[in-house]
Amino acid sequence: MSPSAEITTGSAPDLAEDRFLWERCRVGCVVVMAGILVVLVGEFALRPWQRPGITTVQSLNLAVLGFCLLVARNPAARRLNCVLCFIAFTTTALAIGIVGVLAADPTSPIVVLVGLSMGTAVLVPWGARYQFAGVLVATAVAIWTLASIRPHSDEFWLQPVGSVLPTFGASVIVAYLLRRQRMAVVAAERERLAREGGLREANMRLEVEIGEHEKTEEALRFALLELDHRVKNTLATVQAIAEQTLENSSSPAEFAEGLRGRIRAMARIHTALAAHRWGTLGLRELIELVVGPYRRHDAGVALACDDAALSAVEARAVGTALHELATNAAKYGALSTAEGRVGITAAVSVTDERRLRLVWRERNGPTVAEPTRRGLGTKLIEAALAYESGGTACLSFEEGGVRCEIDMPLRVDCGDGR
Amino acid sequence: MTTLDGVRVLVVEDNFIVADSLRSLLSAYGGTVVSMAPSVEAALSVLASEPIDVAILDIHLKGGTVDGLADRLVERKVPFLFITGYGDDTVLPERLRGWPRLDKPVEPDLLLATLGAMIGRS
Repeated sequence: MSPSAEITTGSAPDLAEDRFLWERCRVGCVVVMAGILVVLVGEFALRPWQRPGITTVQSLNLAVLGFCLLVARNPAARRLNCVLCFIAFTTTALAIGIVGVLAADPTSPIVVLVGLSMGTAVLVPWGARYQFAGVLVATAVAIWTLASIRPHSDEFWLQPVGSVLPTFGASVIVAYLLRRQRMAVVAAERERLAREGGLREANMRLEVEIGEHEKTEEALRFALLELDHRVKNTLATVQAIAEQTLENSSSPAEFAEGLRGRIRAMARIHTALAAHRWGTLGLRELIELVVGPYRRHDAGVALACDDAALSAVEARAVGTALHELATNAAKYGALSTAEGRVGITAAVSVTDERRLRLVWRERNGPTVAEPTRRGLGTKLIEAALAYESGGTACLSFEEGGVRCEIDMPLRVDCGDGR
Repeated sequence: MTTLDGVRVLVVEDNFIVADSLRSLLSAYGGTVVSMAPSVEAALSVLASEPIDVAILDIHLKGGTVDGLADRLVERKVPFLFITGYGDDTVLPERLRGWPRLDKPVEPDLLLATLGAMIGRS
């Protein structure tokens, strides 16, 4: 797998390959410039033994041609450029070499070798394999050139030093630079991919979080709307109770006492329902909550009842009725004396539907008589319970005390207290 | 001064004490509350058997909303107004948002003026 293929696994393979190619061009350019320097230095060093001739001009031409071709790198046709450079270098170098060998010029092997090594260097952008092929060609030609010239007894040692070493050195340097630069590009690419991956992951986490926030916000908005609704309903109820209590009161004191008691009962039932998160409220708990405060002593109220789960609406209807019974008993009935007793029995029957049958019975209290006028208390017991629960509440004033029979259907899913 | 003499009103409200207060208020101005209905079913049966001039509907009754009842009132050409604890009318379907809507607790003067306008008296 070539180095450029190694890094094309990222999200932008075209971009990565382009960048890689560009880097190789840069390295190739550096090597060629070094080659030009070597030619010039070689020319200068060998001048004392050089015959005036065409080689100097030609090797300078070679250097200038390579320089121009590499400087004028056309990004759109970089590979074509490389091939053209290679052809130009190798043909020129071979021509110089042939002419130089025929003319027995001692510098021509150097020119040939440097020219070929430069030609090889321009293949760098094309890929390591082509560069290697270029080196093989250059080596073969160099061996052929060295073998075909007659040794120049005094200066022959200059030829390997001046030509083979620079070529070998240039190849090593090119290989090293290529490797280093390839590693750098691969590392940079890997780092970029890792960074991109990290960013993508963070983005996803953020999106999930935003989604959750939106859900919470929506739930909160709904809860606020619901709260507003309930507060207004409660205010409407309180206002209605105040109006009706006022209509049914003969003095400010009576009004205040009646209103206070009713609002207190509402508040207690509300608190209990809220504690149960507006689910259901047990009948026993409700009775204790509403009737408990009016009990003068433990024996005052006797409870014999099944426990039943009441919905918020049912709890309010039963609670309101019980509160009215209890305040009335505390004022005029069995809970106004120490001897008086209140018995509460309740049973839940299940036939076609769940039904609650609750009986409130007062005994040993003061003698009661049927009131001449049916007041708000009576209305809240009989009419309100029937209206809101669909059952009946029947109030009777017996000699031994008040008796109230409540019979109502229980629906577990009968509303949520709104 | 608006009077509701002889106007037959249907009150649909599941809270007894609130409905009963509305009845007292309307009676004081000469109106007749033909019936108080705690549920849509109860209201529909009243509607089938009694002539009604105008209806007052609580939007949210236990067990559901009053959309169906409001549609029936539109069919029967009985004008109606909503009373609600909701701050806006987004709980209503779009077709019903044009009807008058009063916030709870209801202001008596506003209720009378709205009712008066609806039945063509002011």
